Amino acid sequence: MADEIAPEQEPEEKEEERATTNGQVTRRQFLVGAGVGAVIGIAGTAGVLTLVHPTAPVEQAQTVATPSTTSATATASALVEGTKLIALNVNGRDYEIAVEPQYTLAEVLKRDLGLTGTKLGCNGSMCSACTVLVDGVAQNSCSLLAIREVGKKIITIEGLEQNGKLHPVQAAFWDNAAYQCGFCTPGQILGAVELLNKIKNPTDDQIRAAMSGHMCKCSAYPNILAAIQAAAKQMA
Amino acid sequence: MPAAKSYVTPLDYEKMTPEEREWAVLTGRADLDRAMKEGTPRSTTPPASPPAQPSADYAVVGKPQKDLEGYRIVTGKSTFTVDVYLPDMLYVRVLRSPLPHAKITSIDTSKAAALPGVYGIITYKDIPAQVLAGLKPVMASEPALVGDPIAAVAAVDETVAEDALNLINVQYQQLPFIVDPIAGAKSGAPLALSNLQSNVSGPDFKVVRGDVNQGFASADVTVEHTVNTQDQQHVALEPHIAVARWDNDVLTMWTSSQYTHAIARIVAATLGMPYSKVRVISAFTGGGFGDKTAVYPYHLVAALLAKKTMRPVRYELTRLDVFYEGSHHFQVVQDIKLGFKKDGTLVALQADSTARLGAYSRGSGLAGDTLSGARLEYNIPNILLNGRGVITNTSSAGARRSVGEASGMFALETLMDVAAEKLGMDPVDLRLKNINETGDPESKLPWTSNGLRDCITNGASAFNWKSRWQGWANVNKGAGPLKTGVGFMALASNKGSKSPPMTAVVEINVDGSVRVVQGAAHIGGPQRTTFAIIAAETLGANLDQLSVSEPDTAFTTDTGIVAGSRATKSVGSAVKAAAEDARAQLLGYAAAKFSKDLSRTVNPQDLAVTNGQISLQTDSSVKPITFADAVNSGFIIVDGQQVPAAATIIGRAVVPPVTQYAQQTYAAAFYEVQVNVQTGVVRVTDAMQIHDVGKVINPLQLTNQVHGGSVQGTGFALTEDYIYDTATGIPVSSNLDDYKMLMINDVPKITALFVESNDAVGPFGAKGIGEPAFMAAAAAISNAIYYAAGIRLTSLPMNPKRVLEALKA
Amino acid sequence: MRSFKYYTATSWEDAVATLGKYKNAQIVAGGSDVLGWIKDELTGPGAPLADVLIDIRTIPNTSYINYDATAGLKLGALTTLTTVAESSDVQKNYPGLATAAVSPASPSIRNVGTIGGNIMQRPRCWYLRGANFPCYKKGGDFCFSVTGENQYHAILQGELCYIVHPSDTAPALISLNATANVMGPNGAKQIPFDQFFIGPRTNVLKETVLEHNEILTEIVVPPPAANTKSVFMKVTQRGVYDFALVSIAVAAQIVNGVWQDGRVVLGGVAPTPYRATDAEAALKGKKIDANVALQAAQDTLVKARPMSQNAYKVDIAKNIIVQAVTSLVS
Repeated sequence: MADEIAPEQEPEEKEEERATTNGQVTRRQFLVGAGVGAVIGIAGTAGVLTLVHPTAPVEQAQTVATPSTTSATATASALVEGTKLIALNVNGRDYEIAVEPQYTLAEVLKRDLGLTGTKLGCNGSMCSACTVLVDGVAQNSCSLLAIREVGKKIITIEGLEQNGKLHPVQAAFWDNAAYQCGFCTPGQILGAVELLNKIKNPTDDQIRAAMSGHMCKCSAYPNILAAIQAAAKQMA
Repeated sequence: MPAAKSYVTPLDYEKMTPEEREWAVLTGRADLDRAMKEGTPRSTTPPASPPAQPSADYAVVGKPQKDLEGYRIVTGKSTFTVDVYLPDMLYVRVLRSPLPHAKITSIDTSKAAALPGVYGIITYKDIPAQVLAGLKPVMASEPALVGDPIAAVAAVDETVAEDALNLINVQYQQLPFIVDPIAGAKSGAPLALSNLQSNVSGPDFKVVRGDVNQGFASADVTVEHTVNTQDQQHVALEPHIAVARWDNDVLTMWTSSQYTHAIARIVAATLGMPYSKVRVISAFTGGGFGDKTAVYPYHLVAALLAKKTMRPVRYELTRLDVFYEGSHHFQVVQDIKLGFKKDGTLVALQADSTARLGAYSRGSGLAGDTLSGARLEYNIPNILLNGRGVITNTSSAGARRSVGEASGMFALETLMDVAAEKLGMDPVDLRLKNINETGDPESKLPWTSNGLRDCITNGASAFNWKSRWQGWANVNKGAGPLKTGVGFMALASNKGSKSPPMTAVVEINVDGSVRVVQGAAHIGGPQRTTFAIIAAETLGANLDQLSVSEPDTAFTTDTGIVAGSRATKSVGSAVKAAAEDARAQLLGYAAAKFSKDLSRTVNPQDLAVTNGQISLQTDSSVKPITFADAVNSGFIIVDGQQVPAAATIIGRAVVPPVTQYAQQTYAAAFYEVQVNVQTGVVRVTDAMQIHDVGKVINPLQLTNQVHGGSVQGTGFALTEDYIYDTATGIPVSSNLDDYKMLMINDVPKITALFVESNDAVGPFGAKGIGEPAFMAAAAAISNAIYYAAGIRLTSLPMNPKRVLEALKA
Repeated sequence: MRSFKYYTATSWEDAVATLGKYKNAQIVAGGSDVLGWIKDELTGPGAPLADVLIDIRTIPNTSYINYDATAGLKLGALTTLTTVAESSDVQKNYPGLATAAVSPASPSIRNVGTIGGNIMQRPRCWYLRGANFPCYKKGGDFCFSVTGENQYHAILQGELCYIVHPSDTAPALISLNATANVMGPNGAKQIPFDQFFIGPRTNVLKETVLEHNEILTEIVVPPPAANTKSVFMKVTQRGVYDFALVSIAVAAQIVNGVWQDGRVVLGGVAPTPYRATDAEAALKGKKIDANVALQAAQDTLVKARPMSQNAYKVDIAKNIIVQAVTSLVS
């Protein structure tokens, strides 16, 4: 399979783990032995095995939305049980990561890759706080399985700022106080980025339609609308 | 004010939990209680109320300011508790009761414990009897609501923990249960918990003023109705979460909280630990609305499992867990009756309020809270208020943006509209005739300020009320299926008080930068920005010199809870006082510096500070110096003497409570709705709220608060509804599809206007806003629906079902 | 989320064979509903929790929109709702379907959610979606809505179980006389959507005629006959992101204001999308006006058997039939 990592690329400790568990490496065994270090208060890195191409050039965040969402088509059937090593491209960097089939993209981003900007509000596709861009299309990362997202370009909130410069949507959200607690903000911003990549000068109604799944319980909605209009002008 | 003697149920502090005591302070109940017990008011003189100083006179206050934390928010770098992942951490899942009331007859966790990746399990058998989360069991042996925690598993990830939960075998003996508070209050009703004598919790809350029977006997017009407001969950978007780590005998806990110091205090007391050995951190809090004010079972679950496994433990509640374990804005049933003279003068009020407490709230305080606005908004010589709490097998009642006041205001302000029609008066005029602008009739203390009249009249004019509301003859006069109408309400709230604890530190550092140290949650005000503005204005500093500490009990002062609309007024008062202390010291340093440089005596009072520059007022030819110049001068002038001093300034403040005034916030609201009489769908098409905020500190963020309050208040009015299946006692709308919160499409143009009444005790004259903004919606919407479609809706939410049923009735 | 195995299918045949191999396997396309079901651990004797997910998005050529004036519209089952809604062919020739495709859920769900998934999604009944209710659909022996909170439940054709069908696109497809192409162990077959959905009496454990190892692969919509107009309307409590209290899809040939032939289909009122044949009969050959439409609505709703809390839906359904039908001539 195209997304499978060649065995020779796997680090040695991984091989050892596999050897001790009859070919089935699971997170439970892996983590028992892995004393993974992390900075306290920030995301840990448990589960990240290697970071390949750490200096790969960062993709432009403003990927133009493609109209459809498809998986890379399979050429050979495969049944995954337990852990599988996959490659994910996030914010232009390639990560190799061991996942189990049920790991969502959101939990892998946050827990395993340390990209905690993505927020989970409901973990059920009902609030859109966990929105990320997958090949330019806004999707709920809580309801995507990481194992299915191989070969796609994933942009999270961390991937929007370029060379120390905020994306115009980020700047507009700040300038217009388009949030209160700020928890839903990363998802709101990515939803707005997708919209403005699709429609350059949206009407208020187009903004409302595009942002209609993004719950803000603080209800900063009028300012969100104003911020997106301001960003549209900035980007025009 | 009539001379009639009043009675208010006194507070019995001996019998109150720490949380209830805090709540009494927060809601003004404690002030009222003290004043009633003292008998003689400490002051009856209203404060001298000059108009608020115009914003033009200020450098920072009153001008739109961006959030100091904005960069971190918009880049995803803000550290909410859900972003805390520690090395070697375990993840928790909790098995919860499927029954509303039962006794556990056996529980077997052995299979779950044997699952690879499981490191710790706790059940009620592992929890000492005295270890409770407030009044809630950490792990229940007699679950009293669906969702009561039964067993908690710590495992290497959430999947393993969930797999383990399915291996736990629990046998329950079902017990009778009660969901409805009215039925539960009757004798013979099933008891919600086996150790109760009655579901009615404690003595009723009661207020007596004058003689209500005589009052109604003297009334020309009497109106009454029964109002049923629904159970709500706050659904703060960051789920409740606690991450716990033990370092030997020190517990560090990250949690999404509105009050870190209380969490630390209660966790320490519960676990029998010194307060100094519990550290609680909430750098950013992803929404709270009152739901993150208390210690919950999950806090102790995380602490106990971390102790048991000797590994860091993270328990992030699922959304369903939050619906079960989180607080609920309680269902309350109110019978309310008003008596008027022909000219509209109010002569009597009687109200009876029954609040559903859920399984673990107690007392009549919450019911009393629904009645507080009615006691204070209008001049009414004869009052009888009665409130009770009823324990039920439902999720526990607690604070939610206004606590019960929003429900109380809905009952009162819809009935005022009914009365206005019966009296043939403009609803605006009826309010203006009766508003209480003097003070608290029970404590006899005067208001700190009262801008309600201006709220009503300014709003009526800005909304163009006189032409949009066309008299009672024009109710339900629109043609076609879409009917438009306008509605109005006024409100008074005892929230937004200046209340203890109010402590803060303001440091001026060696480089002239300023750090405000305080422990208030950053939850959307945005609080840290507000405090920076207050400190900068007080000091004469530039805003970019300021930074403000994150809540961390190891390093910050206890500035009290961020709830009850108190942060700006209470914490702001502490920050202002600490900044004044720092400023006095700064001027001492600066005077020493000028004295040395100019070789003559310069006194602190000769100096002015603006835009981060300290200048000699008496001699404009002298070049101003910076904060850094001053702090580094090495000396300070104290009482005219030069004293060597370190290159840092610590300003401090502990602000005493307010005892000579009663505190209120005020608002008026004007809403326009469109009622589709074919589908029953109601949409708000125009909303205006006018708030007496005392003084606007940051118009950008203040307007944002009003928008949010208006939308949430509209959700309360139209869609949000936490529904129990009464046959099984299981909630059914415990997901975000069925628990319907408003989205961007539901939001109309919202206009926020402000009245600056210059509060006598608030920082720069400011008072609170969070809760009044929420309260200023539901009654105005109901009144507008009546005007549009001729139906009076007194149960919330006013959804298509209720609208169509009322149209048919 | 509970653990499961994950299978990447290479062809429809492969997916069908794999479904046959694992009793508790389920196919996954967009995943919104399937994963929600697993996350909420909705399970019972008649609804085992999926332990194998078969990815059909890995099958080549499953997402497409082909239109021509003679063959009509062909939609790959894995075409996202966003793609369907934004297709100019769909918008131009089947405006009712285009509106229906933009109506469900939220943009970020429609960006992954497929047309096939929208048709195949499980109902939203809060008893079915509550893990603690062992209702008929989970293999239990009780419907909690009958004596319970039934404000959103069926007003027509409820028996045994009173769910309402949640799909927005299904009524639109039935109104357009669309057909499902299905792959099964015996190869491909066609099933008109009119006969695709089944009520609780037929089989309470599922909502369609498809067997466990049959998969919806393609949707075929015939070319619109001359003078066809179509419309989709939906009544919700919130402005957006809400399941229908009542929805309606109408497609009809109308000449000089006269209803020649057409279909009226309601969503949110019955366990299946409800073909209002009584309304169709009442409209046939009539010059459409408000009175004729009202007669059609009354003929339909006379059969309604509302429960204790949902009579208001009868009013909504009546009114929305009048609105939708008259909108075709306005």
